[in-house]
Parts: sequence; C-alpha cells; structure tokens
Amino acid sequence: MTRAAEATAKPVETAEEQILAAFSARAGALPGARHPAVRAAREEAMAHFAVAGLPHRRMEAWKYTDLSRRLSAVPGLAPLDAAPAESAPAFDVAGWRVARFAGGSLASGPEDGGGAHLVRLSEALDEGASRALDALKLSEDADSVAALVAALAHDGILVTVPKGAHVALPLGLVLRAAQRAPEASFVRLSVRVEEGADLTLVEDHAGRSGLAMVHLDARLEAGARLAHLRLQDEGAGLTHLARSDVRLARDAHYVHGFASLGAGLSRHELRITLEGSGAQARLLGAWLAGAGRHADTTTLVRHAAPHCTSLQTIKGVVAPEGRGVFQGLVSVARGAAGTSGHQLAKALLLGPRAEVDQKPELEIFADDVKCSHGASVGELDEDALFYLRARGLPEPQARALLTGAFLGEIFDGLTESFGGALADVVRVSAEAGLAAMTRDVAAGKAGSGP
Amino acid sequence: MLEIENLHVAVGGKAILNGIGLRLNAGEIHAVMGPNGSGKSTLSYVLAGRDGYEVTEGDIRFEGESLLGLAPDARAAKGLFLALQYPIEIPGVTTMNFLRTTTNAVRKARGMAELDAPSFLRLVRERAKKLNVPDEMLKRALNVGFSGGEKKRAEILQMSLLEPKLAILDETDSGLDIDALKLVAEGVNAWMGPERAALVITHYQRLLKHIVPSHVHVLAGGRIVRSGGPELAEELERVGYDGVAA
Repeated sequence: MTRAAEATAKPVETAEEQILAAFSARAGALPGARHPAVRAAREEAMAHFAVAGLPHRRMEAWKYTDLSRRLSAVPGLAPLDAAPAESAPAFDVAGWRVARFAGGSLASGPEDGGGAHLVRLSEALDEGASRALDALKLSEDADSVAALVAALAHDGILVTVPKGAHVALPLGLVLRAAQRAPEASFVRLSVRVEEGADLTLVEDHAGRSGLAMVHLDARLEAGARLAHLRLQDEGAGLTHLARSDVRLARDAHYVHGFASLGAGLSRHELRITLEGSGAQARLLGAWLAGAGRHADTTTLVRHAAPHCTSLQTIKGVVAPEGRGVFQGLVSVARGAAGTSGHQLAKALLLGPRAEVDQKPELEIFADDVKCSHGASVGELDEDALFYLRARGLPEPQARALLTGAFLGEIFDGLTESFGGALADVVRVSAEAGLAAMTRDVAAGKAGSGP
Repeated sequence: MLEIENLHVAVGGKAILNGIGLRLNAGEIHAVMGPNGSGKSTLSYVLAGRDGYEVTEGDIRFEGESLLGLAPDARAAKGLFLALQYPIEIPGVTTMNFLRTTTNAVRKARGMAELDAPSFLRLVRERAKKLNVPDEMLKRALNVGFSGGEKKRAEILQMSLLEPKLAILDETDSGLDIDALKLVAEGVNAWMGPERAALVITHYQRLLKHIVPSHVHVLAGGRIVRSGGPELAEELERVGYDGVAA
C-alpha cells in the first residue's frame, strides 16, 4: 500500500475489534437469542474473549503459533442460512449416518443416529434446552477458541449414545466451507457416550478459504468407548482452529486417530482428562506442513485418577518453507498411582528450510508411575536413500517411498483401531498430500498448494 | 565389461584409493581381497556411485562408457548391482513392495514393460523359493528384524530379480554361518553366466570356496599389490596379508 493510500484509508481496526463488532451486529439473530440465559452465556463468552484477545505467542500454549498476522483481517461471519458445500465427504461408508455442515450450518443431518440420539444445536438453542445451553458455557480452562465458538456458533450437533448402546456404523461429521466468499464459521459439537455404550465418530474437515473454528467436547461415562477419527485437509487460504475436550470416567476407552494434512494455518488442541480409574486413551496420528503452511498439534493428557493409561504416537512431515509444531503435555495428578503415560513424537524435515518446534513435557505429582516421552527431528536417512537408489529407484521416488514409510506405523495403527475402510481413506489422502510435498521438493519449488 | 583405470578416490578430502587398475570381462569372477582399511568398501561404493566418494583421478568404464557422473539409479539401470555388507533396514516398506517397486523401476529404465501384480508375484515366489526365502519374510518390512543370513538372502533375491550384468558383492560372507553361506553362494552361481560378471570383495577366503573366482587381487593401502589366479587366495590363507604384500 502506498503512503497516500494509507492516509486516506479508514483507521485500521484490530482483529479483536472486528470480531466484537461482528458479534454485536449478529447477537440478536443467533439461535436461542430470545432466551435470556442463552444470550447471557454468549455474552459471557464474548467478554472472556474481549479480555483474553486472540491467542498470541506470549501465551505459553500458543508460543509457536501466532494469529496476529494471519488474522489481521477477519473474514465476515458466515450467513445464518445453509449453503451448498464446496466438496463431497472424503469418506464413503455404506449406510453410515452423516451430518453435513457448510459454512457453519447443518446442511443435512441424518434422520436417525443408528442408535445414537442426535439433536441439532440451533434447534435446541431456540427451544432453550439445557444441554444446548451447557454447550455455550465455558469451562475453567477455556481459551479464546472455545470462547469464540460459544459466542458465535450458530449451529452444531449434540450426540448422545444411550447406556449400553452399541452404534454399529460410524457417525460422520462432514464440515465444509460454503461455496461463497471466504467467511468465518463457528461450529460446536458435543458428544455424550453413556455407561457401557460405544461409538465411532469421524470428523472430516475441508475448505479452501476463510476461518473455521470448531469446538468439540466428549464425555465418556464408565466403561464407554469412543473411537474418534479426524481428517483435516484444507487449502492455503484457510485458517483452521480447533479444540477438543475429552473426559473419561472409570474404565472408559478413547482412541483418537488423526491426519492433519494442513490449511494455511491449522491448529488442533486436544485435551484429554482421565477422571476415573482404569480409563485408557490412545492417540495416534500424522500431520503435514507443506510449503508456506503452518500446522500445530497440541495435546494435553491429564491423569487425574489412578491406574489409567495413555499412549501417544505422533509423526509429522515438514516441507521446505513449512512450519510444524507439536506440543504435548502429560500431567499426572497427586494420587494418580499406577499411571502409565507414554508419548512419542517424531518429525521429518524434507529440506533445509523446513522448521519444526516440538515440546514434549511431563509433569508428575504422583509416585509409582510409568511415564516416558521422546521427541526426535530428523531428515531422511542418507544410507537408506543410497540403498534405494542403488536398487534403481530415481531420487524423487526413493524420497517419496521413505517418507511414506516414515508414516507407515501410523497408518498401520489407524487400520488396527478404525478398520481398513476408514483408515484407507486417511492413508490415501495423506499419501496424496505427501506426494505433492515430495514432488515440490524434488522440483526445488517452495510455493504453496491450492 | 568393467574397466577401472588408475582410480584415485578421496572421501572427505582424504585419499583412500590410490590408483587402482582392474579389467573384468564377461564370464569372469574376480575377487578383491584385503585387510580392514585397505579400501575395499570404498571401491564398492564408488562403483555404485554413492555421494561423497570423490574420484580425483582415473576412470570407471562399464561396457565402454564412463560411469563417472552417473547417479546410483542410472548405474543400476545399466546393469550394476551392489550387495551391501550391511543391508539397510527400511521400516514401513514391506519386502514384497520394495522388490516390486525396484524391479519395475529398473525394468522401466531399461525400456521393458513393468510387471503386473500377478506376474510379479509368480516370479518372486519362484526366485524366493530357490533362496529359501519364505512368504512370511516377504511380508515383513525390508531387513527389519532379519537375521544376518536372512538379510544376505534378501540381497541375493533382489539381485536375481533386478537381473544385473555385473554384481559387486561387498563382504557378503560376513555374519553368515556355513549353511547360509552355501545358500547365498548357490544363488550367485545360479545367476552367473557367460554374459555376466561378478566382483567379490572379501576379507576371508572361505566364500571363495563356494564362489570360485577366475582372478584374485590383493588390495592394500588403496592399491592392488598383487593379482593372480584362485591359488593366490589359498596363499593368502597360509601366509596372511603381510606375507603376500611383502
């Protein structure tokens, strides 16, 4: 911008000011606005945001991911009506129940949940239902992502799997940008798996541009099981900020598998609290940071009860000019004896200008625990590369094979936990992302993807 | 087939090979023997084209064409094969997938049709059986958790599928018991023919009882200090490297 143009432009609003103004203009039209309790919850959430502001690098949890430059201009709020979605679901599971969101609105929902009880958030808010209201109330450790979603979500879904129910087919949540101008969307998802029940939940995120914010909370009652698979594969014009809070009661079992294949900037913060003895959590996934992209995976696993186990295996690949972040905290509360908490994070750099920050942490306040964490960053092994080339593979092909092999363990684990049909979709998507990255590296390119 | 002419090689600025000359014709098996540190592995790596092995003088010609400046995969396509002393473990890539990918890459580079899955499977089963490589091994990640013998058998299986003209066997006998050694030698002998040649690099004579060389060279200090027939290997066994080089 030239100096003359700057002088005539109106005073620049901060991102926070833009969001607050958008909220003021929108508040009266949001679902549930006629219920004072709903309005109060939204206003409280916005007040939380007004104080905290957008996350920035001086906040410990956001040390490596700064939104200030990325969000200097906040896209306008997505209209309240549903719109055609940009693309079809990545998964095609025969007979599964799927809820499709476009631009933050539920565009189509399943008639029934195949054993799970589903309620549309906007309708529940209009009715003033207490479960919907609870979804807008902030927890003590809420951050600005949770606050903005509570304040601005105009849709979402509330899932309940009743006591003892076994939901045979996965429940799909397909979240897409709308086929409109870049816009900001906020979706609130809430899942209850009651005692002894089990569910497989698949999140499928895609979009080309705009800002997508998602907050999911899941509560697993005693002996409940939730297998939660998350595929996120978005364009360079999109900023994806997500937070998931998962709480496990006694003997509950949670598996989280993910492939974060990138957006311009993407961040998923997953907080798992093991609240009842014997609860188990398994996390495994892969993230990619392509050229010009920023991918942040942050996990917090809290062992609050004795005899719980957690195991994390997380691998990332960073292209030249890409930036990856992994932060993982395992904390063991006083009294959580017999804890087994393990975390392994590995990152592979595909070139000299690839950047990664990994911060594994253990915080232990109990005795008699078995905990470990390991983080490594490396490049492709030169011996292995030579070996493959001496067997006739041209360099780009040898690099692609080794990079895929680096993530092989993750895909094998996903197949074990989610079955071949779901895991293969994730594998194919991840391999396509990897192929694009290694092709760019081989061509010596450092541009960004579509 | 292979002509090495006054070859000088430096690694990290340090001279390792100091003027090697060697000529290997089709149908011949040459053994290069030498003590540790004589430059044996450097010779195998520089022939295969590994980065970091700098040819400071001389030439390597394969079927009349210089190999200098050619990438390892281009040399493999021309028909060179290096069996490594320590085959590399490749976690996440099954042996079967590796064999198929490399075989088809080489076939493609040689202008041959790639093999489809069923044809490849038939071929690999037939070759694997001869080397006593069970199906179960083909399903495992390449070389991961393989015993010393399994790794070397996997190398020879790769060789039989890639069908090179020239095989360079770098200390293929290391880590093998006598049964495994015989099996590997049988694999090499079955592959060998009048249009092919092998360069067997070894410290000990024992492999040469099973893969009988037509020529034997003694490498010391980065030079070939003596050449002769198979009887030279026996002499080495009796008097040692110091005795022969003296």
